[in-house]
Amino acid sequence: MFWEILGIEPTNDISKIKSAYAEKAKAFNPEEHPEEFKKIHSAYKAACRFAKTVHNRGDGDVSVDFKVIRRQTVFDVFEPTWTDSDDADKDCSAPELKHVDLPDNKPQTRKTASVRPSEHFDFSAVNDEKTSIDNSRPLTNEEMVSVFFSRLKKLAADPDLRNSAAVWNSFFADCPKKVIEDTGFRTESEKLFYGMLFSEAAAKKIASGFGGEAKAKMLSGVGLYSGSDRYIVDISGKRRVKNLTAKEILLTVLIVIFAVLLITYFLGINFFEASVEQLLNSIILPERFFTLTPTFSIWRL
Amino acid sequence: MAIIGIDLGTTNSLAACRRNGKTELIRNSIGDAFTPSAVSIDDDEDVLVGRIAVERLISHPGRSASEFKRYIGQRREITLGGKSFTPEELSSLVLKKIKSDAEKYLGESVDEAVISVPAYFDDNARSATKLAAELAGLKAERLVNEPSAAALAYLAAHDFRAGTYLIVDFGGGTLDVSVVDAFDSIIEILAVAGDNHLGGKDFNEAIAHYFCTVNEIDYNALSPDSRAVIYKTAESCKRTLSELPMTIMAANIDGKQYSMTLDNNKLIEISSDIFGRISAPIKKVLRDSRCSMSEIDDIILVGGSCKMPTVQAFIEKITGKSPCTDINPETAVAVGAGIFAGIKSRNEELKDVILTDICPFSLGTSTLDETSGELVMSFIIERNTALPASREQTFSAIRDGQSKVKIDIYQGESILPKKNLFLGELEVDCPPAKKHTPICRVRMTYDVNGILMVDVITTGDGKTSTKLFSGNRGTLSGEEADKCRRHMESLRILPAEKEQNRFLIARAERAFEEALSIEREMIQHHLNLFRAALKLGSGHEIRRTYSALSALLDRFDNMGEL
Repeated sequence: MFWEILGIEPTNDISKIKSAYAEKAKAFNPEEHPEEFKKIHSAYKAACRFAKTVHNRGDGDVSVDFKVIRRQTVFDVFEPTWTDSDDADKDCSAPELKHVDLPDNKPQTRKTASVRPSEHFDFSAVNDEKTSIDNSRPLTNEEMVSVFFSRLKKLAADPDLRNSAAVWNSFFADCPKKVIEDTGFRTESEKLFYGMLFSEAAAKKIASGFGGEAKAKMLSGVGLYSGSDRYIVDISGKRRVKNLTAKEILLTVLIVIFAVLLITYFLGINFFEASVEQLLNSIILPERFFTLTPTFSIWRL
Repeated sequence: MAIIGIDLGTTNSLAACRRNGKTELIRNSIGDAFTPSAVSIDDDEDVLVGRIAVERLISHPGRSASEFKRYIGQRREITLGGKSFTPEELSSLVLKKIKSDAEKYLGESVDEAVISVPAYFDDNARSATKLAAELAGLKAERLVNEPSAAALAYLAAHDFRAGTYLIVDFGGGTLDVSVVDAFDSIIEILAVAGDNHLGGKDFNEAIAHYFCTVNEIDYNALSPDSRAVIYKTAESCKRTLSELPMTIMAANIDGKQYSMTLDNNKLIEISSDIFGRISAPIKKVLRDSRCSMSEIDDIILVGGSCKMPTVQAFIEKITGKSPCTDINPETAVAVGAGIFAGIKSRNEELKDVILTDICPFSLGTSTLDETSGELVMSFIIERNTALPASREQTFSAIRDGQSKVKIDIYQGESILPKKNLFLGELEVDCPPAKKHTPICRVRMTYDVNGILMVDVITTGDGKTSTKLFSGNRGTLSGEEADKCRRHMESLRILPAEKEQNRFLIARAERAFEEALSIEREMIQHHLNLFRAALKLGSGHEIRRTYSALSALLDRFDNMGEL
């Protein structure tokens, strides 16, 4: 047990633990006794975690949730094969458990003449949102959405990360349900994913992560991307990708031919009588061909 | 025989040692504590290090280099005067100079050093730093993290008073932030975070680019010489702004005179990205150490960039606490490294001081994630674990009858192994195991010298295979290191007694480039006299022309005119 290593009775007085640790550490310093020091240091850490956990339960009360204590002790060298499976661990570090302050000899913060007060400078050019380090306040819903959306953007931007299901797995494990269900988050993600291609596993992971109407669709048949493992994620359930059937292709081709005929007609070129040069002219010149471009956007998906 | 502490910085390097119970900064051959980390090769193929090389950055940019610390461990080549060097070799030249200066200063041989490195240096950069020390003839068993050294310097100056401190080390090329807990002369680093590519240099660049924009100069079209001129003026402009609210930056590019005014608010505006990047590591380190800002007793600023009032004010703004400025931000790391050298040599009065550092990156191996069929990281030693540390994990077989396991070791935080730094691998034969049953245990031990030991213990027969990652591998194999050493030995280093004269010549050459018309001629005239005196070798004449030229240059450097 770590109390024996430190040579003290169980306590929640951090200063006692610290001085016991200091004494032991000096006797077995890390330069000369690395093995002993490792044990002492882990015992110290475990004792600190213990002290923080029982802090608000009153002095000397060791009858705390044994599971929590056990998990703390096994955390370090004592039972290294223990695997993390429940969230008791989170209890040890819950933010509301306050750090025990050492009495007296706390240093005073000073102000020296060389530091000019910040109001003399205008930091408005620096992005406020990014620089705020206030970690005590819980994030509002909107901030959460923006945090997770920027993470999502980062993942999506990197082709290695984007195509890895494991990465998305851990993203959705972290991402709270509230964020996933947020309509703003969904529309923004949908916009981001629009036209983006993923591996099958990743696309399926994303679709299941978003839940609801989200689907992973395979891009098949005709298209610029003929590989069968290319998937696209459709979060809203709306039709985003046009899987062209043979009929549609035929229709498109007919429309194109018809449009070409129509244009050449308006440009005063008789399609059937025009020389090859004239025809080429009408096709190569971009402004004459301009009206046809929307048809091509189907193919670009 | 002494052990010294060396702060091998991006722009300046310093050394310190313990003598008579005090930490002293070691002065170099020209009486300065700062030796610029710059190297230059002159026309006689002599190697010049320090101030001389800095002067030559402008007059001979193709034969001089600085800020190579940024690329250490990255297999880059820097060409100086037709010869190519690795950043390790250039760093070793700086270390060699520091070593010889320290030997002269202390009057005894120096063959061991504690060198400080940015906490965020990865294994490659750390090995490269050790290699540089080895090439310089120094044993550098221990590297100390810069913020830890700074903490040591701060606490030594304040009687090791108890408290939790936030240390911001913002140097020429790197930003490191750490949280430190101190009590009973025990200093425990709780967490570190940093940005390896953010430093004072970025402010210089921002000012230089802004100067070009204001004066409608195309930066990309400039010659390297003109760039060096703008860059140097930008840097001195930044230094002036640390003392004055406003300054005028003027530079002479291709015979034309350009100028602009700059004040601190404008500086903030043009470098808002840099300021924006400062807060990320602070946020991360607080999260990693599970401290909130209210638990921090004092903020300690070290590193040259923390001298900027804008940086101090910005840190005050984002943390809501006024930082401590009573230790010299530029020498704190060196002093800390010096104290550490004292601890290392088992100095009596430092016997009870214990500094526990942490490992800044997670270490682990790649494993198969069965749901996705991909390789993912399993971390064994998490980042910010106190050193020395041992951790163990059990791994299971992927398929029935598996009789071989490959353990590849990575350093880094990404879930994807290939995004992390590959350190090495070992393959172990083991008795066949069933699918999903334990096949082996992997134990990682990381010691205070950054040496990693990996033990693989097979579950079936309990056999142990061990591999040592000494921290001296990675960047160069033994053969390459030998080649490196021979290369270094072939270089001629300028003897110290000649150094002063060379320095004056380099200074005069630099001033000549900056000056115009009549000033140019005056400098040239005195320089010629000095050169002639050197050739004649008459001691009296050399001293006379030396003082005349140096007085002239002093006037020129102080006033900008003669």
